[in-house]
Amino acid sequence: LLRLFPNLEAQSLETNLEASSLLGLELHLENIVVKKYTKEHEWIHVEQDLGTIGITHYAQNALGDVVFVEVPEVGTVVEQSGTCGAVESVKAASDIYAPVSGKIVEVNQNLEKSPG
Amino acid sequence: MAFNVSLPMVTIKRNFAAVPEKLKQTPLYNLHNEKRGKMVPFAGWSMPVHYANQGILSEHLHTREYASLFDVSHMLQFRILGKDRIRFLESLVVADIEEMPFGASVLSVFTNENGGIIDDTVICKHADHLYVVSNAACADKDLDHIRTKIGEFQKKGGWVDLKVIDDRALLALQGPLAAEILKKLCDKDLSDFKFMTSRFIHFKTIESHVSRSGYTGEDGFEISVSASSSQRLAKLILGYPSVHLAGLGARDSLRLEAGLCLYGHDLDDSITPHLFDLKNPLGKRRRVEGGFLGADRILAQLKEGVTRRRVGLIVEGAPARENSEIYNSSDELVGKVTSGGPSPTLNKNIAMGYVKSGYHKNGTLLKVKVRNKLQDAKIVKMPFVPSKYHK
Repeated sequence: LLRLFPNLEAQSLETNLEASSLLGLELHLENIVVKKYTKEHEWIHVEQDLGTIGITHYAQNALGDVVFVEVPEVGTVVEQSGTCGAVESVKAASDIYAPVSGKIVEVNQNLEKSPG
Repeated sequence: MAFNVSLPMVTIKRNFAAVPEKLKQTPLYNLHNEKRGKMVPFAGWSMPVHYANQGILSEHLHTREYASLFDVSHMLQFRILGKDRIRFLESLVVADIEEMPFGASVLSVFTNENGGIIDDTVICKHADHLYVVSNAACADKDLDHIRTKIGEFQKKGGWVDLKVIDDRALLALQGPLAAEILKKLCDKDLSDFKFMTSRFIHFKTIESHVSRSGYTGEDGFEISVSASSSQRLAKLILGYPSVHLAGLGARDSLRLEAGLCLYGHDLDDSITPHLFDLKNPLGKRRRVEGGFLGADRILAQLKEGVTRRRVGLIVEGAPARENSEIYNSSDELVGKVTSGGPSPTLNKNIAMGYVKSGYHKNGTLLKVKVRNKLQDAKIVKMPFVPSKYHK
C-alpha cells in the first residue's frame, strides 16, 4: 500500500545523498522504521504494510520552484520503477517513479492546490 | 525522477564524475558566484539560471513589480562600419534602416536565401556605425554568415566591415523602477528617452551605450559597458535595494509572458518573417524594392498568405511545453507548441506555438497533449501580460 507525500520533510541523512541508493534508518520510540532511497531521488518510508513516498531535498533543490504536481489517482496500482506522477518546476517536468509496487491509498491533496 | 529539462543545452547531472565543458565566462562571472547564482551551461557560456536565495518565480515577479538586473553579456555585440554599411545590412535583414533616424533601434531578422530566419536581432543606427546585438546561441552562425556576405559585397566594390565587440559587458535593467534608478545614477532626466532609441550615458564616470529596450515587456534599458567597468556598474545599480539580480530562467518566463519569440524554439530557419508576425517586419519600401535574402519567397507569402500562424494559448492542467501537440475539437492534429510554461504573473499556464491557419483566431478552443493526456486550451492574444514600453 502506498501513500504519496512528495513534499514531506526528509531527515538529515539525505544531506549526504549520492547518486547510488542509500539505506536510511530512523529510530522511533516504539519500533524501528525503515527509510530507503532510490537512484532516482525518491524515498520510501515503510511502516508495516503502508509506505509513504516522497522526493528528496536534493531533488527539490535541483528542481527549484515547484509549479505543478501530478498525482496518481487513489486506487491506482503501480509497479516498481513505473511512473507514478510528475513534479514540475518552472523549466522542466520530471517523472516520479514508484520505488516499490503497490496500490495508492492516499494522496496529499495539498500537492495539487499549492505545489510550491 | 528523470530530470527532463526543456531549457536548451542544460543538463542537471547527478553524476559528479562527468567531465565539465570548458565554458566561457562573462565579465560578471565572479559577481554571479558571489551572489550564489546557480550556474549552468548556456550556448557555451556559464550563466546563472537563477540565484540561490531567490528562484525563478521570485525573480520574475520582482521584475514586474520593481526592477531586476540581468547579465546578458553572452549575447553577440558587433558593429557594422564603412560607407556602404546600411546598404549592406539591408541586404541581410528585412528592416528599413535607411529611413531610421540616428539613435533609433529596430527588432528585425537575418534571413537566408529561402526566406527562413537565421536569427533575430536588434539593430541600432548611429551616425557612423550600426550597433547590432544577436543571440548567443547563434553567434558563430551569424558571424560566419555576415563575414561571407561581406566578402561577396567587397568583391563587388562595396565598402563595409564588421567588428565584434568582445570587450564589453551587456546588462539589462528591466522593470517599472528601472528608469528612476538610472536617473538617480546618471543624474539626468530620462523622460524624453523613448523606447527603442539609444544614447551614450555616463554613470559616475563609467561611459556606456544605453538602449531603452529589453526582452521582458517591461520598461527597461540595455547597457553596454566596458568589461573592466561592468562589475562596478552592476554593483552601483544593485546598490539600490529595489533592484535584484535575475537569471536566464526568469528572462525566459518574462519574455514568454510578453509574447516574444526565442530563436531555436519559436523561430528557426523554417519560419519566415511574415509567419511569425513580427510587427511591421517589412516596411513599404522594402516590400516594394526587396533586396534582402529570400525576398522572392517572403514577398510571395505576403501576397498569398501563410498556412500556419503563431498563436498564444492558455492551457488547463499541467504546463504544455515545447513540442506538445495541438489538436482541434475533432482530435485532429493542427499544430505544435514551441514554448510553454507557467505564467507567474497570471497564475496560469501559457504557451506559444503554431497552428494551421483557420485555427488561429482569438477564443478558438483547442486541446494540447501533455504526457499523453489531452488538456483544454484556448487561443488568446499576445502579449499575455500587457507591455509597459516607454513610448
